[in-house]
Amino acid sequence: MAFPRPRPARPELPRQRVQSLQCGQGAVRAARFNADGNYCLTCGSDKTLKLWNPHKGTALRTYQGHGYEVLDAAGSFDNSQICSGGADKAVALWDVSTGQVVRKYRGHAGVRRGPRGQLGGLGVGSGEGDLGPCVRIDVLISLLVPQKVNCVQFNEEATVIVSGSIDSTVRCWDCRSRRPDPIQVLDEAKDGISSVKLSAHEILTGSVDGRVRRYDLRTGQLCSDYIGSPITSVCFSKDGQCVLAASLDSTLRLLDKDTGELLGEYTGHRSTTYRLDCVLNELDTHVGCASEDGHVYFWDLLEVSEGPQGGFGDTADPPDPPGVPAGFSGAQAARGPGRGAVPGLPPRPALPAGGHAGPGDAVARGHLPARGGPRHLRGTGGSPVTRGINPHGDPAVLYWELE
Amino acid sequence: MAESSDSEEEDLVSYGSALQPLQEGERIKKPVPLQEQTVKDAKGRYQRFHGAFTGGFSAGYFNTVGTKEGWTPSAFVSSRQKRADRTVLGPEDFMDEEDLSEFGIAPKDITTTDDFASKAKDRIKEKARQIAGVVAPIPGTTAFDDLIGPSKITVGVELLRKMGWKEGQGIGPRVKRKPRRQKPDPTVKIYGCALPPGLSEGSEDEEDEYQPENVTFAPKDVMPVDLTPKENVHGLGYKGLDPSQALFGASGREHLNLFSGGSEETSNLLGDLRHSKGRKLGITGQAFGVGALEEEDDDIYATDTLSKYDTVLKDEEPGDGLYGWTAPKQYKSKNRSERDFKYIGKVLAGFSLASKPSAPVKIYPPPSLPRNYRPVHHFRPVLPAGNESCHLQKALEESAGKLQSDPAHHSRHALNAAQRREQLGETELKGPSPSVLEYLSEKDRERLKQVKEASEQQVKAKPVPQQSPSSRFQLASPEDAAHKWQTLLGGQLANAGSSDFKPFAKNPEKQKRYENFVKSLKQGEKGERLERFFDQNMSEWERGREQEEFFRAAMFYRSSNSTLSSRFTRAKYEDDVDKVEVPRDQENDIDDKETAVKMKMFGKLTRDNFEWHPDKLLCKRFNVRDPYPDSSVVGLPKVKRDKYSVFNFLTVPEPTTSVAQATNEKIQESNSLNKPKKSSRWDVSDKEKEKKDSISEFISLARSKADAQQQPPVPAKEECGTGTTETPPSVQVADEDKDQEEESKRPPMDLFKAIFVSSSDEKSSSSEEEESDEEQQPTTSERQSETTKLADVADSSSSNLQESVTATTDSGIPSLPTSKQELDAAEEFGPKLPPAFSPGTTWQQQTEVPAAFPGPSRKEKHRKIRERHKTKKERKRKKEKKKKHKKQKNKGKHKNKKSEKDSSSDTTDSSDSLSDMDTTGLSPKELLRRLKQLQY
Repeated sequence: MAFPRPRPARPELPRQRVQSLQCGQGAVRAARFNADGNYCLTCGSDKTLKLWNPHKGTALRTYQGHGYEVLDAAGSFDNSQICSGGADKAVALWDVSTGQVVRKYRGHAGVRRGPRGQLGGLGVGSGEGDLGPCVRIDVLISLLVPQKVNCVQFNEEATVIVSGSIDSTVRCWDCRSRRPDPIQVLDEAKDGISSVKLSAHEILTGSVDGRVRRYDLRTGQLCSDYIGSPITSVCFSKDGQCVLAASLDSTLRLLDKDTGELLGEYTGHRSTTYRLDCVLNELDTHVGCASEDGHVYFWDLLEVSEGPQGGFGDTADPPDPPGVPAGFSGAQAARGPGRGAVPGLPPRPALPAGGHAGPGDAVARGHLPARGGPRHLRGTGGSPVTRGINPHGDPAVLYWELE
Repeated sequence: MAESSDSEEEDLVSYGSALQPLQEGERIKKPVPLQEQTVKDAKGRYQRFHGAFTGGFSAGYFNTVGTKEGWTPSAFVSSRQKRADRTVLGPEDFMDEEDLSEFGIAPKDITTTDDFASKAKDRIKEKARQIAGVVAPIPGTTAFDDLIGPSKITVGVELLRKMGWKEGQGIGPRVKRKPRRQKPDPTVKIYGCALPPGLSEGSEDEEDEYQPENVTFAPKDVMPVDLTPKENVHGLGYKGLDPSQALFGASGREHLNLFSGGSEETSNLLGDLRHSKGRKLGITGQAFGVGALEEEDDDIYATDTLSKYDTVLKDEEPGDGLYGWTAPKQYKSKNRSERDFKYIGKVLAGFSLASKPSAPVKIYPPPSLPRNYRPVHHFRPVLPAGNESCHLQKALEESAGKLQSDPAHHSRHALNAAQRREQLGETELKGPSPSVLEYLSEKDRERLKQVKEASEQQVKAKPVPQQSPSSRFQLASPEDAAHKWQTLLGGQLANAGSSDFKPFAKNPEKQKRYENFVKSLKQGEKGERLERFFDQNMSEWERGREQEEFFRAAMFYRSSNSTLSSRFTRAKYEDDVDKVEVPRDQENDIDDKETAVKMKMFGKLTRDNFEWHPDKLLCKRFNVRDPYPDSSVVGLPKVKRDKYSVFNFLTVPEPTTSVAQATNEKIQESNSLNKPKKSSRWDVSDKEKEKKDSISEFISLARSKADAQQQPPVPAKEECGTGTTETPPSVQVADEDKDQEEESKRPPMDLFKAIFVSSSDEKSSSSEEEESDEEQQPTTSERQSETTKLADVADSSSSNLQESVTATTDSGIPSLPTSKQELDAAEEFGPKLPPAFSPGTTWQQQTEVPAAFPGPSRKEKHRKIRERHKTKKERKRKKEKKKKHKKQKNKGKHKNKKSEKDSSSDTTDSSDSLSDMDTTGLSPKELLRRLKQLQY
């Protein structure tokens, strides 16, 4: 008999805020930890990318070179390179130490395509994919909004950058060669790509057309799961068996990767307009998601949520929309990046609530409450939102740590 | 001694040339020491033989190049930014200029190559070779060399030879020798001294004697007179360095030599009058032009005789030698001379010269044109001969005023191009079929045919009324039909099959049949004989149809002029304007999916699987094997469809999709099979596995049995909430099993094995952790208790088995002894929480399955879907029930726990259990697994 594994450590949730980084980048569109969690990147709406040591709270370097706000960034496994994508339609590959742009890929400059692309497919406001009221808006948007690059990811060896754009394509860029055009364009999506994640041999994309697509390079298959509502974020579970998808119907869904079956549904937060991140923690015990009320919510993975009732202490939503989300890195922390709106929508909240669209967030020290339904963490104990310096977003990134 | 030494000397073989015998009193020259033996170049520089090239070089720095330091490195230019101008140094860069001069090793001037060089240059070589041949150990070997060696004849010489030129002859038209004595004109002054009379006069006389008058000779080989105007400012006659000087001088000398030393005969043959004259009129010397430094000093005073010049304008005199005149020599008898000797070669044996010259070719002057002739051609419309509308043709001809009654004439002019071509035996023009029909659409063609046929029928109705009414088929019997059509076709048949009219070009076989058919039809064959041309495999009706088709085609055929057809060519590539590439697999209708999503029926209904081809480079970058190494497709495979096809607007899944899905399913299956392997943590050693194999087989066997037993489905399980608690699970299981079997085949045995094995591990690993809430899963524990015996080895069993066992042991008598610990352990995986729920769906018995499944099998998938219909309330109720039941069953064993549970409310149940689980700190995999199982 195989020996039973020692009992794993208890899963913990961040409860205490360790750091608050005043980024000074305008609205922070994304905050990302590096591979080992020792550094983090913040993407600002002031066209800069900043590298931080979140533990000490020191800014290490600022990367300038994007022509418009930076929407996403990722660090390579060896911390030598950074890739970022921005509203200037470009994907940039940075050298960490010199701060120079090594390559800039501009393939996403295309026009949005497809019938839903034309309409925008952003039945966001009306929630259930009702396009009626949205048509007008979207046409407008397609005229105004550049083909922003919403998300970028390195593959495991940092030889390929995979970027998803509002032009409804996912493009795989070769970092090794000087080829200006992508290795492959995944143009199956009918609308903007909001989220891209990679595993060793898979590309997972979430699109505003309400589908989660998984390209399996090993088997040569494309699996397309229909969720219905525009997807804001997708991620793999750590064991690679499940897929978590956050959509604009304020629901997180945990799907079986192989069959597409629904394993869990998590609700209680608010996500109707903005592109907010969702995560699974390191041990796959909890699901986290940012909410537009400025909180980060966590659910126990196994607890099939029944809505935000029960242990949901704080019901008073902050007046302003976007809170932002989180990811776990290592044993450490949830991170919060301020996030832009859903692709296709202007980054600025369309909602009137004068606040900032960007968010800040992040997390605190402490144990997870013993049990119960979805829990949420509020940034800065009160209203992370009201601290906003500029009207477009919260300039701060809050850094929470697990104890 | 002396003799012997002499003889020895004779025997000695000596090499080299002997030294000149020393003269008396002369000092022996000291041999130049080796180091002083130097070679100097033209400029007096020492030549050193240390270079890489012949003769070496002397660059000033002896063994170096260019500088004292040696090679001068050119400035380094990085090729990164700018490619350096590549300076390739050739051998020329290291050579002295003398080497490049005319006589250097690599002359830069344009020189004649051997092919074009005259042989004169080779004379020295020739001589050397001759000498060598004589001197060589085997005399005459060089002669053999000549035999073997390629003859190097210059191109010009070769050409000349082919034109009849022979060595030594001059070039130009043959001339008749007109010996003309150039009597010194008394008015002309003669300079110089006269020739010796004996020499010149005698020769002249002799010449006159034998000279045949009718013989032509090759022109003399002389330098043509240079008639170029004088353009320079040199003195008259001065030529700077005349390259032809040598030749000129040589020829001059030859003349002299010949003249002086020639035998009688030669001088006879020479017949050169000019010498005598030249002698008399000779001007010696060249006025200008020989430099003091010229080597050919002797030429300075060379005499240039006037005899070399003609003093009178006249035909060129025949040559000076025997050359060019090979006719027999003794024709002093002048009787033959009247003959015009056009031919001067040797007459071949057996041939004689024609006594009469052949009649000259008569040349007829062109006919004088009539006065009213206008050199413009009017084209008449060309009408095919076999055309029915010969009346029209006639009319046309009449209108042209050229009506010809002569049938032969008529036929000659009435031939069309094709017929003429046939008569002339020319190959036919490569062109598409000339029929306009080809360019019509099928429908139009059909319509035309019908119209044509109708009119035809009307016209020919009378001749063809005798159709046999006894036809069994739609068409008259073939014979009748043939007859009918033959009459219909009439003369048109004549060229029906003859040309490139290919009405069935798209179907080569049919076309072939058609051609055979027409051919035989032309020969008047009928009936059955015609039949054989049709495909034997066709039914009679088809045959009849085809025959009619052929007839029609033959009738319809018009052999139009192929000139038109040759203007066009068939398209080589299909025009694909009306086709578009569309992805082969389309995502299915969204409506279905939306309803599925609303019902939370995720899975099959919401999933589309496509074959997707990653780029090869992408695979490489991801370190993944290319799944489709042979395909060049990237992305989703595309197919060409009509642009305006209905199918573009319908989302009809193509068969290929299903194939892809099938393969996909296969892959999934294999995935699910492999999955347990992935979670190696839970794997046990092979030994254990083997141990369990027999048991798992047994289990599956039992399971299948149970399936069979419970085949009758009891779908309406509404009463399960209130009714009996025991039966529902089994029934449902049966139900599910049935469904599953409908859906797909049962997974292979390996799957079960894999499941059991891994589940056992799971259990064993986590068994200690769970002690508290077994009561929440009464049924599970119950089942577990039944299977625990097996569980020792197999640890758990498939849900089906458990359920079936449960069903059999409903009476409450545990068939197997249970050990509490094992039971507890098993319970940990029991689903506490139902999965998604949606109100309003029918309640179905929740099947509680031990949480031992490493991954979802297909069966489980199915179950999952079903279970989404549960409502929360019902679930709770169910739980309670189960609990009760379990309590009853395991009262004794679990008393303490039961009491605990009792105190807890139903509502907190789930959270409690959750928290319990939370605190257990399970591994993520396990958690996920459990999560999946929650839904079963």
